[in-house]
Amino acid sequence: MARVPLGFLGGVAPLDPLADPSADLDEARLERLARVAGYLLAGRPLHHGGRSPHPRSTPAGLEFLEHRELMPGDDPRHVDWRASARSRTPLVRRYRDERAGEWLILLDRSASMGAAPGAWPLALQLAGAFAYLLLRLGHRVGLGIFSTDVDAVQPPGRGRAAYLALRRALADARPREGGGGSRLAACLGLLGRGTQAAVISDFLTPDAMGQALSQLRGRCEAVHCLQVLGEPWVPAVAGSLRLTDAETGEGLDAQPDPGLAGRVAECQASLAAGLERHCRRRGMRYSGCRVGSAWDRVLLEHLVGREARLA
Amino acid sequence: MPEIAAPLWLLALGLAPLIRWLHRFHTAGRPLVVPAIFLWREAGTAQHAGARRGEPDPVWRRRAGIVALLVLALSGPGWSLSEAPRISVWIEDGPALFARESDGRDRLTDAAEALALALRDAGEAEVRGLYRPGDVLRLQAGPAHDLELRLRQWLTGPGPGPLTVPTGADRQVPWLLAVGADPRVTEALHGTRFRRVIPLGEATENLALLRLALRPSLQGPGPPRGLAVLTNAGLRTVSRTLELRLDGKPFERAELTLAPGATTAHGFALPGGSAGAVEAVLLPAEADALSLDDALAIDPAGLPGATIAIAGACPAEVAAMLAAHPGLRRVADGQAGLRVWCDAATPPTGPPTLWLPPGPGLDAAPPSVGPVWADALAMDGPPLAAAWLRPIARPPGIEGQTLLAAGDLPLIVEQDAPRRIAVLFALDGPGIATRPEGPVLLDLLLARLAGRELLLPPAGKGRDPQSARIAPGPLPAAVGGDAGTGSRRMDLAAWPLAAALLLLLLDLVRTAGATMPR
Repeated sequence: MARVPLGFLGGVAPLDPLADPSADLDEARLERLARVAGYLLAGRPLHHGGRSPHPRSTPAGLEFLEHRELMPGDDPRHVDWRASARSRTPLVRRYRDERAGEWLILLDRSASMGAAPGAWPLALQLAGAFAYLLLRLGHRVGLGIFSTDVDAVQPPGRGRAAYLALRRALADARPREGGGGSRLAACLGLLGRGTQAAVISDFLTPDAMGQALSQLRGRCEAVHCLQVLGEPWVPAVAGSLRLTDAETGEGLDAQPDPGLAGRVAECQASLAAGLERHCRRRGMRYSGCRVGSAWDRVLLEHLVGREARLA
Repeated sequence: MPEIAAPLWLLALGLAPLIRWLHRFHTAGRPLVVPAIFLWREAGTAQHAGARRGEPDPVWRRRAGIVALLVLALSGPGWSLSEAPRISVWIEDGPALFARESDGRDRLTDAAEALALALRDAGEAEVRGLYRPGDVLRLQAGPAHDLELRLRQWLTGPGPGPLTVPTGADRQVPWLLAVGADPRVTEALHGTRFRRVIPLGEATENLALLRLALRPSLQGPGPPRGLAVLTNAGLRTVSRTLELRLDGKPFERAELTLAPGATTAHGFALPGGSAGAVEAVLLPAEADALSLDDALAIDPAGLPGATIAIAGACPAEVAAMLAAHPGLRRVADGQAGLRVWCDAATPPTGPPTLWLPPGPGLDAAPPSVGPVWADALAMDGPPLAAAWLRPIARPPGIEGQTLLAAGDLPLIVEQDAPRRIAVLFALDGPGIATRPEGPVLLDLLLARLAGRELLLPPAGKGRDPQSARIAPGPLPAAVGGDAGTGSRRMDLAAWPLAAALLLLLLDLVRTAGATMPR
């Protein structure tokens, strides 16, 4: 079998893991995830549409992409006999899917993302890995980083250059120190008709950004929601707590008790369940994960449709 | 038995309410930035606005416990290993303790105040007197006035005994509260270890009546004669008035001036026909620091002594000496405890008899060799002039031990059965009745027959000359140190201190751990 070179990042110096939390996205793990995703999603557009093609169809197109082994269900007409004769293994030709579209990854950098320990690095990893997968599938991928407004934009691109530019943008991104908010609607202007969006956020607004997601869904062909939540934490101190909202600055004096963190986690889960229902009704794919989850596992489960739910 | 060394520290336990009160005043609480505060509000936290004065932080209990344990450690908890008092105080309870100082204060009051001061730290003490060793007074800490009352009651109790000093066998080194006026006390205390020595007294002047004695007149029937002996135990020359009273009425006064350390005797004759109590008083009473020794009184009728019957024709000198003996009262024969038999015939059976057979003697000339007392009387027998020892013929029936002999010639013979002593020389020698040797010889022989001293108790009253000294004297040096209770007390301060440190460590861990994410 002819090995298709996968050196998407070949020759690129690894990023500094201290400066960029997303540097944990090493190429081997990304490639492994991309291979699995390629098997599962070969030719399938990453959206929930009514027209669901054969999951393993070799897409029609003009631009040759790669060879792969013949698998049960493949149309024998797509077998590249010459290549098969050379490799003594039946191979089919794959072409760049002309249906591959333009993706925009929308990353929330509001202060709440920085207030939950571990949430921001995981969000960066998910954004970088998701972009890698999309780029490997031939899509054009751009990046929008937003809080109250759109703070940074990486125009959509294709291939390795686009990925590296996107990684650099991620490396430069920081969550807000405080104040501001999570206004997803500010990103509507970035999206053209037919663009697909992946929103990576904690969705910690009273309506879980439901209204903005609805607007987004109306403009985009597909919307993926990846919710990253931190673990609620209550310091084990005697006496009261002065709680301050990272975004609004609102204060609240609270008397901690042993079950407080659990109740806050339940509120988080309730908010996530409402978001999930909202996404399902609107035809959006939703996955939730907590800090500490492995980014590749989160993405894999999201791609295969096993929608991860917050406990 | 638990005890607290410094109980005043326990007052600091009153800080506990203050600690609780302070824990109510934590204003905004510990700051915590959260991603979405609406989730916390929905979670149902108890909310407050601004400074709170609700229930105090529960940690106040732990911190109050730390403070309480530290206070307990500072108060010096301990465990007394015995029920014995903490200190033992020996007090010089001689007459000098009852002197009055120049400012009018009683020396006993000063002693009580010194004891009160000592008890303030020790809490409890057992007091022993140098003159009453078996009598122990247990005192608790209290006002000096109460201690003085208890001391007075104790010291006016059963009379003093012999001088006794601490043996050093006590579990604790005692304290000494003394004047040091009596040199015998100073000498007895030499080498004795005292943890603390508290000297008492400043006054030095004291004139004391040492003796008041009465005797019948030596010149035949007449008013009894008396003698008052005074001494100046002070450091300055003193003039005082000696007043003599009979039945409470003064009958003689004498102005006496005594140099420091001098002793003088004042003789007097009782008014005739009187038989009441005789009293000698030094006036004025307030001029003397020690009033205890300013008066003496005797009742002639109540004086102890022996009854004696005289039979036969005794020489006038013998009759005079018997009449002048203050310890003899002449009664009829048959009622007497002693008998003087002045006859050549053997005395009949009766009470112990002093047999004075009349002369003439064997030889009018005294023996050529000096008289020698038997060993039993060698120390007490008076020296007798050779001129008095004119031996007489030894009557029959005198056998026994020779008490006095001149060579081979027995002069005084003692016989056990019947009990009698025979004097084999004439007791009518020149001047024998007016010199001391004759009456002393007669008293010696009669006392030997009676089996007891006839002059003790004497026909009078007296007191020890040394007891008249009240001036403070040297005292032994204190060995120093604490109250002397260390060996009987187990210090428990380390336990609450360790517990407080553990609680403090726990508090620090809890406080620091609260800042770390779980």
